[in-house]
Amino acid sequence: MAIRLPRTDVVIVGGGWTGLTAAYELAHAGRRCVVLERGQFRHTVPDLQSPAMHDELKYALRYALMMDTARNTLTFRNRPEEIALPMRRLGSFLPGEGLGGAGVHWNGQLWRPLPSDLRIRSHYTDKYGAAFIPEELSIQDWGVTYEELEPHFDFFEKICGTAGKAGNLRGQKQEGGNPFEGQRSDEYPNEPMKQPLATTLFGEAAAREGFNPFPMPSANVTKTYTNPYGAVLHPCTYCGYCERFGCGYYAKADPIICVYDRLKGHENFTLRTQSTVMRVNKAPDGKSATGVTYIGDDGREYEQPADMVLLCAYGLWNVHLLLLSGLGQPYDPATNEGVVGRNYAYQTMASTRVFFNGKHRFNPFMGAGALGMVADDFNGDNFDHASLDFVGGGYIAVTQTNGRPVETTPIPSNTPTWGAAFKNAAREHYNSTLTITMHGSSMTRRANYLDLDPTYTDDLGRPLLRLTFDFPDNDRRMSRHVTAQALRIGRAMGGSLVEQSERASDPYSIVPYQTTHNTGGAVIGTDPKTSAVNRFGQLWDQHNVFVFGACLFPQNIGYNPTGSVMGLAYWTLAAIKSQYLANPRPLMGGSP
Amino acid sequence: MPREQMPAPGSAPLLLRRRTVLAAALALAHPGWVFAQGVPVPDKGEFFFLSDREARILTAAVDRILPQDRWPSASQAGVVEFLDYQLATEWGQGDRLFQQGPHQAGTPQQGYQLPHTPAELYRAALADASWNAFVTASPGEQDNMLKALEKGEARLGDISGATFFTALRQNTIEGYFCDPIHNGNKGMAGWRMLGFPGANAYYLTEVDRFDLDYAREPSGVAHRPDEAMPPPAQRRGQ
Ligand SMILES: Cc1cc2nc3c(=O)[nH]c(=O)nc-3n(C[C@H](O)[C@H](O)[C@H](O)COP(=O)(O)OP(=O)(O)OC[C@H]3O[C@@H](n4cnc5c(N)ncnc54)[C@H](O)[C@@H]3O)c2cc1C
Repeated sequence: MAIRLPRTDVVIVGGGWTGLTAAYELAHAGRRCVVLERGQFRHTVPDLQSPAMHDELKYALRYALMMDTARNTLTFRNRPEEIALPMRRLGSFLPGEGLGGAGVHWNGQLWRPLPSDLRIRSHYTDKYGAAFIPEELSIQDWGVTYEELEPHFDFFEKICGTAGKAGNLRGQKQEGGNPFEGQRSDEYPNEPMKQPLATTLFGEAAAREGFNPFPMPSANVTKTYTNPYGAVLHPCTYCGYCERFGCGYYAKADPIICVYDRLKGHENFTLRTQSTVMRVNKAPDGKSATGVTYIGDDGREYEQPADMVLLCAYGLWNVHLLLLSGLGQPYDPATNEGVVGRNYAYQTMASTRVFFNGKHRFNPFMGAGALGMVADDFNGDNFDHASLDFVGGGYIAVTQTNGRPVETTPIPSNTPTWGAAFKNAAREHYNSTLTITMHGSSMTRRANYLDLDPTYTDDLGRPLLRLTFDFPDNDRRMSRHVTAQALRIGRAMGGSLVEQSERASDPYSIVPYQTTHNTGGAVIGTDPKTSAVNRFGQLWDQHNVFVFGACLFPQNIGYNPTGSVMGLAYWTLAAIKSQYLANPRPLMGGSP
Repeated sequence: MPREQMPAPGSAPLLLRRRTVLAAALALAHPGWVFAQGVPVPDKGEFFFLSDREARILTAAVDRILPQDRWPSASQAGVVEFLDYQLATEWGQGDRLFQQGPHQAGTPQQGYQLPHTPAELYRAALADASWNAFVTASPGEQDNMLKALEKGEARLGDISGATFFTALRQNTIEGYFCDPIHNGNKGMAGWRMLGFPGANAYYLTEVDRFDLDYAREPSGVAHRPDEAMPPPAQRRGQ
């Protein structure tokens, strides 16, 4: 029998960006918040300190800060006809675990969506006609607009001390920023990062080719900065141990520095680590949740009653918890009915390598997770799609994140991958090769979805989440088109060899790292038939359960997700504070 | 745009042959430093996990993956000691590997599906009799045998050659370029070969100096003599 704990106002599943932020905002709104985090307690000091943190093998390759796949993972297949098998070790994406979640080991590339991204179906229909949208796609509007989210994007950029240059300040185009972005109410809080040679060459070549390059918006901060919660960040040292590592310099915005440190000790805040939530408990009438059941750090089962339940466990695991708890109708691709697990999407990545054969010294080890120059000319609908046969796009960028040597052996494709020729090539190209990234959108279709696996279980005996995914043809066409633009820039850079590889030209594989940008499965919207939550992130049927994270995205944008995730998080929290707390109820009409 | 130079490195690359030779050389150059690199030495015999036969096979194999040239071969740079320690400790013993059955072959897109931990994979694959001839074969013959594994044309008992070769290649590169605290990259030979300065990383004033010849002596994560890796539980092969 579970040990029943005293009631709390709010129980929050997960201690990453979304969970700690929700706790901060609601604790300060006078609500007692309990955060349950399955992983360990950890802190910048001493757990993320250099030089011990600067161990490529331990952190980047053995995933010391990430989810323990011996205990819990998911199963995967490309197509519904196949048998899904467990992801037995991490690869394609690297979910977080422990205080701060994946926000501890992210890059900090901090983006907003385009206004048109959020009303994608209406936008394409208005501009190109309804018949333009490929039939295979189940894309839909978000039900919340850029204008509604803008103040929240702005606030999160300030929480992170984001370094960047505005391109559109209250409708005025700004030199040096992204000319395609939506209107911003304010400039970035910090100046852009210093640019090294590789990203500078890219920016120069892109400009010559008629693109509009600008520095990537970065949560690796550029000066000593105090965020709106009072957290102090310090200038990034360009150490090259950023993504997959924690930052011991207080220079990469993360949830521990930016939120937790300013919340700990608050009378309304309780954190319990090594506490894995098993399920959300429903009231007998099914109309609300009564709290959660979890396994505590002593291995015993607890029931935490609460007036509100916030799912902040990362997109994938929020969907898992919804399915395990019987909240919302599971999606069935055969009938196309149900909503939980529907519209899973990912990120469509491609790369173009430019070899300079010793002509340059790029010193790739002088890097930062969000250090780069970007051209956004072929993202979203920033370019005319009328004569094209796909929806979406992607940004084209050169980043200089790291030169960690196990991960950095760029060699021409006709070079053997081992032996004397390999060794020689690895040495020759290490310091004079750069990679242009295409970071593309990912559209949704019926056959890509999440449900529960019939065979495999986690260490607590629960069915694993099952992922069925392959790149839609729409995205393969998008990838080819946008990658061709990247090739143009690559050729203009003056390298001796330019080579491309596109992820979407092959079936999606769970093995090579692509991005930790898993989206959808509990999407936001205004129609209970096609969205798991209403436009405030609230479950349609259990009004005291709110969902956070990229599982809300109806399809994925061409940008990294966390700016959008946190814009939505603050939007939901604002609705909770201003509309829900005083009068708990469905904020939009319930199920039909 | 400033394009500038820093002084060229003063010392030629170290050519490393034996651990003892290296240890002595480094101990002279940097008193206390060999300790600081944290190489735990097993009580009995040369290795924690590998049998002498396994070590001989691996020495030959990793030296075809990264042969000696101006820079040390994989085994000269400690890759066999690296592998030994990796296989004897958490990763090798299946840490973070989801081991629940049923195990069944999947598509390449579904990734590793064997029931073996890395230690079991190496032990089973190296037990195959085809390795007996490998150790004494000529380098050309060795390459052909490795190529047959790589292409999946040869099997090692119940293990696909390609699966084992993929692991061996990846682990060899890890051992050559990892921080020396893991027993590979002896003398930081792998880092010196690339010009990678290692763990002590602070480039605020250098990052935007274009084409900078940054030739600083590399350094690893270990700064104190007590920062050695803990010895593993003994699991030496026969
Ligand atoms: C290597 C890497 C690089 C990245 N780079 C970028 C980038 O540059 N830009 C960008 O926008 N995004 C990036 N991301 C993605 C970014 O990290 C995530 O979008 C963000 O951290 C998600 O925040 P979250 O709060 O939704 O989830 P998380 O940060 O994952 O937090 C969820 C927490 O919930 C816990 N949890 C899960 N299940 C349970 C349970 N049942 N009970 C209790 N606790 C549970 C987890 O342990 C975890 O700590 C990157 C991610 C990785 C891994």
